[in-house]
Amino acid sequence: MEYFDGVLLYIFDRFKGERSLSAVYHLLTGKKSSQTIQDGKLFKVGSFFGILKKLKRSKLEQHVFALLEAQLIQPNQHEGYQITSGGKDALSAFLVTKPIPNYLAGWQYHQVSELFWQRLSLFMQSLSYSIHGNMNFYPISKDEAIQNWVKKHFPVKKEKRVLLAEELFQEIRSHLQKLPDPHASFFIMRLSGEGRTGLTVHQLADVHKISYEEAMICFQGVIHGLLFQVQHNAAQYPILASMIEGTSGQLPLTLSTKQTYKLLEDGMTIEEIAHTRRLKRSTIEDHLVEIAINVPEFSISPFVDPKAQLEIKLASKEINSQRLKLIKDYMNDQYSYFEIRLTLCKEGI
Amino acid sequence: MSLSDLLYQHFGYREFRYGQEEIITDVLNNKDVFAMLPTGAGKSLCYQLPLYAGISPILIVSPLVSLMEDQVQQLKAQGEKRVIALNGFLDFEKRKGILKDLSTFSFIYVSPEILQNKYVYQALKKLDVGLMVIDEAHCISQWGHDFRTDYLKLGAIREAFGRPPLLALTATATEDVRRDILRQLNMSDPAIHVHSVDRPNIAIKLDKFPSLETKIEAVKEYALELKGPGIIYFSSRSWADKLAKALSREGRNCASYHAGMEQEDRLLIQQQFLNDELSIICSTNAFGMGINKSNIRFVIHFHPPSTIESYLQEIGRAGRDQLPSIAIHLHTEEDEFLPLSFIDSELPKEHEVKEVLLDFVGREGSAYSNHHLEREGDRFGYTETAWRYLLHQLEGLGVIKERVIQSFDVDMNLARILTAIERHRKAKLIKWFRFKSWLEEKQCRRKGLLERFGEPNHIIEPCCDYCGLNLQEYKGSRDQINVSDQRAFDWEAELKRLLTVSKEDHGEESTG
Repeated sequence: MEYFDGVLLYIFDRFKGERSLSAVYHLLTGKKSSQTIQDGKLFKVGSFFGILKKLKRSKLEQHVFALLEAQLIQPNQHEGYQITSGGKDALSAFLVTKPIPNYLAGWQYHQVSELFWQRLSLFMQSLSYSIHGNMNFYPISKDEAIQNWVKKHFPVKKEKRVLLAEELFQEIRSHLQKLPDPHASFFIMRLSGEGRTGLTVHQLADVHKISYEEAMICFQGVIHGLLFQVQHNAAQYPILASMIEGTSGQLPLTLSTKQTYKLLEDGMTIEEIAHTRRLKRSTIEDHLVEIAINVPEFSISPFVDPKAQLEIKLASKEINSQRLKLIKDYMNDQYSYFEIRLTLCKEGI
Repeated sequence: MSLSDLLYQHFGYREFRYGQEEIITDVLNNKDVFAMLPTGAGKSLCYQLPLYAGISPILIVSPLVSLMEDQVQQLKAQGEKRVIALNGFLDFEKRKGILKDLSTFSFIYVSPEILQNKYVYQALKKLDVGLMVIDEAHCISQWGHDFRTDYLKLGAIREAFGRPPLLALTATATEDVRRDILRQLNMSDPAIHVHSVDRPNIAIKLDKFPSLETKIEAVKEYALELKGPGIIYFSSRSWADKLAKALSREGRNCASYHAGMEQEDRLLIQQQFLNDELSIICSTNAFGMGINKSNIRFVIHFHPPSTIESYLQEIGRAGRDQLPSIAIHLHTEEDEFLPLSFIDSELPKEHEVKEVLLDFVGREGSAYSNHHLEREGDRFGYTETAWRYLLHQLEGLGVIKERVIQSFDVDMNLARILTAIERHRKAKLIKWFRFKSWLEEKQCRRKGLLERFGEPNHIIEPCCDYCGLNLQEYKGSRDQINVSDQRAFDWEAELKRLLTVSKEDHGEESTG
């Protein structure tokens, strides 16, 4: 079984057969739709959000076909796939040898990780060349915003550069030391500087004789782990922390949802927002779900009565399902889909 | 200051390469200049050095965004900051800012398409352009190997800019193409510098195979034995990927490169190759344009290019350091269909043209923004080249005027367009057959190539497989590339090496 098959089994297991193959695809490629965001939250698979942005649908289908052939999963009536008992065994075995990095956090960091990596790799490259007395190199990033950022933060004086390089070395080392050795090597091999150009993820996979997906997830995991440290211990990692400046405090909301959130904070009701923004009520409801998922301090009580919240949670437990339709039926249509959805999303932290 | 002093001061070379000095002298004498220099002869220096002799600003029309960006990076790396590239990839706000300060730049690179933009055009018109350079000038000719319709408008644009002196540069242009360039650009009494297309340090070998399988075996063998670095050209991305994988599996330090890859990966591969960390690139023809790597030892064609000019341009990436290098063409009979289907994909088909005409005829009077019109091809399922071609025809026939659809007769225009398409298809076929016939000849390979450019043969040793070649001289040990053992990788030591200065290192002299 390939690494990617293990990841798929993990996701199918979490989805409990309640979500379709498209949901898996959107999750891995990081589609910013309320449904995908909600899936990530409800089924606790948000860490995989957008970690294989370039995944081709045909590739996913090939792997699913192989899993079906091997009878590790089976299709069900919801257009989803249920993991079989054989699949459960295979998944446990997989997780023993290849545990999912616990610092993988796709949803949290999908917006900053690319920017962070680009700034860091160009900064490293420039610093490395410059302290070795060579400023004649081709920058590893052509993105002008990235280049300008590096220019702005690059010390003018040589002595300062040497010092900064030493500090950056300490910061990166102290974090990587906490990781398994192969993961630390992965990260360093991707970096460019004097005397060596970084490897692409494909090359990294070839060198280590692993699949592209495994290499990519591993690499992303290291970046996410770094970001977590930097966010929570900024004082310990001042240089790395500076690389996410201008992004911190940003909520990972889609643009349209941000606008809705602002109007909510201004005291508007759902109806009023729908009217002002000329959007359907259901769209605004989607936005609310997204806010509930991403903004911890956001209270859903104005929209769902606290008593109703308790009952919905209980019902979900009793029938052991996150499927809105099943819960709604079970509760004799006492609550709307919106109320159930909002409650489950707030709950599933 | 003399030209050679300027050369040393700004570019660090002691001597001009063959032909450069004469061209620059004519440029400095305000002449219109046509120059054909083989790939790797240092064409860009011919328009860069005049800046330091007092000519400014210099406007360079360049057909490829990647080529433009490479030039800009190179100039910046040489310490020239007053350089800018204007192309469709700049966002609107940024472009506005640049146009406002355009007079502060000395080298302005533009794509022919962006010159059609009203604001860019107006801003440039206000400048007193000191020299207008048309790079890859063969693009202006219908008979050139990569004809670009917007190049045709350059003659008129030059007039509008107050007729600055013009320098037209190309690496490969046959006699008819050269005449076409002079005429289209309306060059007056031009100084013409035509240098041989021959690259004497590149040996030429032609291999024929009965089947695809035998050819694959051969390319593997060459890749393992030949002294690198080298490039292997393929007609498609999937072939480049496939062979790169196969060669890597056999232990060769190899990667693929094509336009389907992500930008970050492309940059990494390019740099690994430039820094001799990678010995072979398996590529589509997207690779090589503007790549300044002097020590490429071999170029292999796994698939044929569609013209002899492309062939010369591609093999010309070998041996820029003037050391012995080799170009090997691997041929099987089935390859002959590839250029044919490529030619067909570049030109619109009858039902496609008809569909567009029927759509447009009902929209008489509707206006387009430049941008919109260029995108509309997607709606009809056109390839980019085919759509550009059709637009050019429609403008020529007056169906579209100033981006507004006019009233027109469908049948008459359809017939005219189809005639034009047929003529172009034939022209392209003729070009392909010219290359194909070279593959079939029984004579000195070099002689065959030069004949097609109206040049006499030179006697060169070693020359080609027909004249006799000792392949042994191009073989090498496989360990010349410094690949560190990745399994014993010590990340901590490597991180330390990257970021700390050892005692022997004295670091950079100056700062800032």
